[in-house]
Amino acid sequence: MKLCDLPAHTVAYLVRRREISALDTLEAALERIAAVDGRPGRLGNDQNYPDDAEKVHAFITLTPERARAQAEAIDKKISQGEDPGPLAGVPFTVKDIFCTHGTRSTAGSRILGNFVAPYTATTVSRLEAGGGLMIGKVNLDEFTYGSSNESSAFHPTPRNPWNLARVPGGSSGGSAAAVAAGEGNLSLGTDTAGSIRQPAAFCGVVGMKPTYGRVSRYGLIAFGSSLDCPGPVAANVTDTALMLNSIAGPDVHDGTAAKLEVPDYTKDLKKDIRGLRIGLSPDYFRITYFDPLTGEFEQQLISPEIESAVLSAAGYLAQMGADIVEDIPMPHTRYGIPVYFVISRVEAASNLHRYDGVKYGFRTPDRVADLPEMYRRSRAEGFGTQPKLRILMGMYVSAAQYSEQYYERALKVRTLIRNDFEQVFNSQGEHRLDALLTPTTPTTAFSMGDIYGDSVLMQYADQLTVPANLAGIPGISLPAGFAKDGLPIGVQLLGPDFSEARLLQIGRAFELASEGEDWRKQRPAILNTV
Amino acid sequence: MPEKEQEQPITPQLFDHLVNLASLELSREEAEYLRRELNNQLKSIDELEAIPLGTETEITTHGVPYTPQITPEARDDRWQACPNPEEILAQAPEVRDGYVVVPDIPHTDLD
Repeated sequence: MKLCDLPAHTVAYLVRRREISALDTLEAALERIAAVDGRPGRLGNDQNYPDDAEKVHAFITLTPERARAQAEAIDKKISQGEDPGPLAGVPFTVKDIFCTHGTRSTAGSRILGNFVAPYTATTVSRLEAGGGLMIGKVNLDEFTYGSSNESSAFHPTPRNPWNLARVPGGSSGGSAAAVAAGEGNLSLGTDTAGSIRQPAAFCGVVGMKPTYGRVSRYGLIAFGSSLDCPGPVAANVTDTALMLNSIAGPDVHDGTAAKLEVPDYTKDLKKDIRGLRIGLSPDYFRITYFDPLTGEFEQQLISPEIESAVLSAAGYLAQMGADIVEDIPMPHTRYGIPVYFVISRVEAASNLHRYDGVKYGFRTPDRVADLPEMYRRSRAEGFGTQPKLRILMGMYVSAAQYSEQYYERALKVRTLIRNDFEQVFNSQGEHRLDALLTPTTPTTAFSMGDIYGDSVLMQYADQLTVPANLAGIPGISLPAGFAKDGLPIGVQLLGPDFSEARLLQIGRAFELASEGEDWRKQRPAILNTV
Repeated sequence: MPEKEQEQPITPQLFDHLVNLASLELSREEAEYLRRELNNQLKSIDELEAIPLGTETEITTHGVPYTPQITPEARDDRWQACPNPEEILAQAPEVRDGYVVVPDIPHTDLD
């Protein structure tokens, strides 16, 4: 097994024991990238080459010099007997929605295509302070607006390492694809409606959306400020816990970062789960979506293969001593998407007004008569279709005459969605759940081009993940087998506020229980080429 | 103008008004696509109207309640020098003598 395919915690252990050097791990990751990634995403790369379909294209920007300087510093620390940190020598990637000093920070958009951040996001600083090596910035849907990565202005867009004709999911698709292909052991993603968990499920890796406020948003280019959560993407639960240890915690630069101590998330991973109550809800085994063709709401059961993967995961957890509680009512789940359509658009529109071609980012090169024309031209040329859609919708539903009908109503239904969770997690209540076990996605990864452009249908891919963002609670997606099409299936655990340690503990128990399964040994197709 | 367009919540006229407010310019194809998507999304949002909401239902602005125990204190409101103003200015499309340059700002009379 190559160094880049080892778990992050093993890499850090070996580096700390001087069995390998940080430079060795860096070189292994760069070698893997050279073998599988192909050309990085660039603006204006609209022409497709046949070779593009054979590569992953996770990256927008590689930062080998930054990583090399960091690796040399780690190796020096170790040789001097100093503590190099818990992530010593672990290569990681960063979704290009985080500012990193001195590198381009593009949000996958032309409007920030030339933006070089003058400061570094707290999460990235903490990963580097922990000994991690930032090897590059990975692709995403433009401003995170999408579930496939196809809306990025930087082409070629990422492909799914298990099947290169499929999307990696989104919006943290570059993150999930990179981890699955061994291009860096860890990746920092963000989750506003499922943007960590859905691509993690599609790419067969672990992705965690922490509780809102558990991880600082400082340096994260904002989308939905009441929903955005930075979080880990990793190959396994232990690595996820290790990464969360580094990035979680209060931050003087973010007034919404909760003032709560950070436990050692790796501590309880071996604790048994006997007696924990894990719920299954029928409301998470179907999706309700609006069909623009018929104008009707349609209800569809999730794919039977995904349902059986969830039930099989429940079986493993029961074997480990958990109590599985069925028929948990989560009646407001179906409203998650329409509520999200309103709230996220209002927040997005507000956040996108700052891009005007004045102080940073793209300004139209054309001659313009005056400032308003410069604004219009710069925004028209700089934003892709998805940001424009969100700006227009956000302005409409928050306009004075419609705000009560749409925005305020959505905020009230958000309360009902939150109440569903509070009731089932209430330790004095009827259900007293420690966690809810659900599918992460209604389907496996869709084909490239399949539903891109239909923003309504694409959004419904998030129906099972978005309630956690609206409620603020944590969630984790875990690999749980494969469908007949050979694509990974993810299952999701949701828990009460700040219950990350418990979710990781249950996740680890599931990994241990299913350790001997054949599907655990499968590797992404792209790795057969290296 | 086909009657159907005028029956949709976002008519072409309202759409143009929104585009203007948003400081955008759109090609005809882009405008058609975006207006169709907006009207489709609104139909989906309309589902919310069917949910009975009592007057006692409060709004939720953040999922997690910010109790005093977890809310950080505001930091001191103290001036700090920016460590790298030149890097920030270097991001501006046009700068002269330390000032950001923009095209002419037309005179407008407020209503």
